[in-house]
Amino acid sequence: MTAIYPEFEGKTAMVSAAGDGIGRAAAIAFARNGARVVVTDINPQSGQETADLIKEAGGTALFFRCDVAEDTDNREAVAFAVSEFGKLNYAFNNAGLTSPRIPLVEASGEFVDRQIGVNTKAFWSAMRHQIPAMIDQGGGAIVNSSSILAHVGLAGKSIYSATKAAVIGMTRGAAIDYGPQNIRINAICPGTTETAMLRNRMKEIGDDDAQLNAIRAQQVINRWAQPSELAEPALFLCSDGASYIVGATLIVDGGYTIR
Amino acid sequence: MIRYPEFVGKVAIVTGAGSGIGRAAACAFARNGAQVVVSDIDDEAGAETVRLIEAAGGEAAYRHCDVALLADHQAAVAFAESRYGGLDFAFNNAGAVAPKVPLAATPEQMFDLIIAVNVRGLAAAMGCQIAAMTARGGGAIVNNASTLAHVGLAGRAVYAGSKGSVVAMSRGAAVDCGPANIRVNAISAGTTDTGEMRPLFDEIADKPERQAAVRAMQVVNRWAQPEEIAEPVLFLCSEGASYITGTSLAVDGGFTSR
Repeated sequence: MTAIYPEFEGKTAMVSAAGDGIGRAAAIAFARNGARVVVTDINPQSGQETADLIKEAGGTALFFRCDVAEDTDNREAVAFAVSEFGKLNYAFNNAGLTSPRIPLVEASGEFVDRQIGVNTKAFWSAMRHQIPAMIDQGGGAIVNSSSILAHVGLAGKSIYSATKAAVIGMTRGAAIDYGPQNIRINAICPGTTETAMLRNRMKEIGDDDAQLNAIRAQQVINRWAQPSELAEPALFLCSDGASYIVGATLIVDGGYTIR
Repeated sequence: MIRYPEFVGKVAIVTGAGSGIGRAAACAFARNGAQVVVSDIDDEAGAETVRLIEAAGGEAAYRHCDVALLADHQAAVAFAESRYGGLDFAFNNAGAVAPKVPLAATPEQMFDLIIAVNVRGLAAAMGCQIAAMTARGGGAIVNNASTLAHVGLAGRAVYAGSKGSVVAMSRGAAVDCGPANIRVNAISAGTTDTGEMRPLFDEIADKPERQAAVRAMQVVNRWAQPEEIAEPVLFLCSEGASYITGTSLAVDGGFTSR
């Protein structure tokens, strides 16, 4: 059972990396509540599929291809939202780049630049276009996807951790800058979630129960999340119920970081 | 407005529900179909909350509870079980505030009161609630911490310490009772238009500059209405928060962002 947000009716939401996983779940949930959704993804097939799923269910959605590392793509995605649906109310900046495990000394300059490009600079780029569009229509809400690794360390993930910590800092700072214009900006920190990445890892693990159980046991609640369990908090943070939540970080990790 | 259809038929306890954030949360739980045990130390205020809920077509019953007392928590939880058949959600909202006093000047009596209500009382409450929720197969608890668990304010060291304990205790309890399918989280509410803040609001009622200063502590340049704190509490109890446990959510209009 999912929450009901009547205030989303007729609003416009854009969700990045909405071709799969958390982004797809969020796009579908926005549309189910009556929002018109701009589905963006770097992959046109999966992105279009999300838009089609929404339309088949009676919702309104359009796909727009967007590589979040390209400022032009982010600018055009926002322009597309405004031209197709008249305005932009909500943005869930969900896209990110996962990282293989590379100890800091072994990470190349290109690797670091790419991580920062997608996981940090892309948030600046997306928000710099989203915020003016939201101001134009009187306000809005942005949710940025950080990570539990902004809060705790993991072997071989120092660069990734740094990029995701930067998302929190940028979220907080932008919230201060644009709070007076009625734009609320918050971050969520997802933990272990059943996305394509995790499914690939599980394929490698096969039916090694000991390894699967070890992944589950990293959480206090002894399981990984379904994508909808991350999408729902993102929707809540956009909703009127979160009207006093500004510059905050919501950890959604089944208790991964609390011990 | 019904946001959380899964609340229909569920049972919630809200402490300090005779006013402010607690009353707003009790009303919101009831509006979403939950049966609410309204608890407060002020019987008249608590009964008024029940009247408000009943007038709106909701289900609630009042139970006196001094949150410093273990026996009162035991009785409140037993009341929820006998009256409504169990306990699903608890919002431990009641707390003690103290006048501004630097730590070294804090009288022992004030220290003991703050700790008795905000720390010891919370442990007592959760102990009773977790047992009942475990019997039910799961549940969700939200504890009212404070922005002062995260940032300092002159003359509030002891209060801040007690609210820091609320965050830490929520985290620890979440670890303990995760396997029992009970989620425990804290919210850190900022400046809210409640009775607790009334002395300040009265003091600055005819001082526009001071009002502006209090507003300007928030990025959003205003204080909150109680409903704006109650809504996140309900969300944390809802199925949408099924993967959120042991965390602390700041609901402060950006107070702690800078």
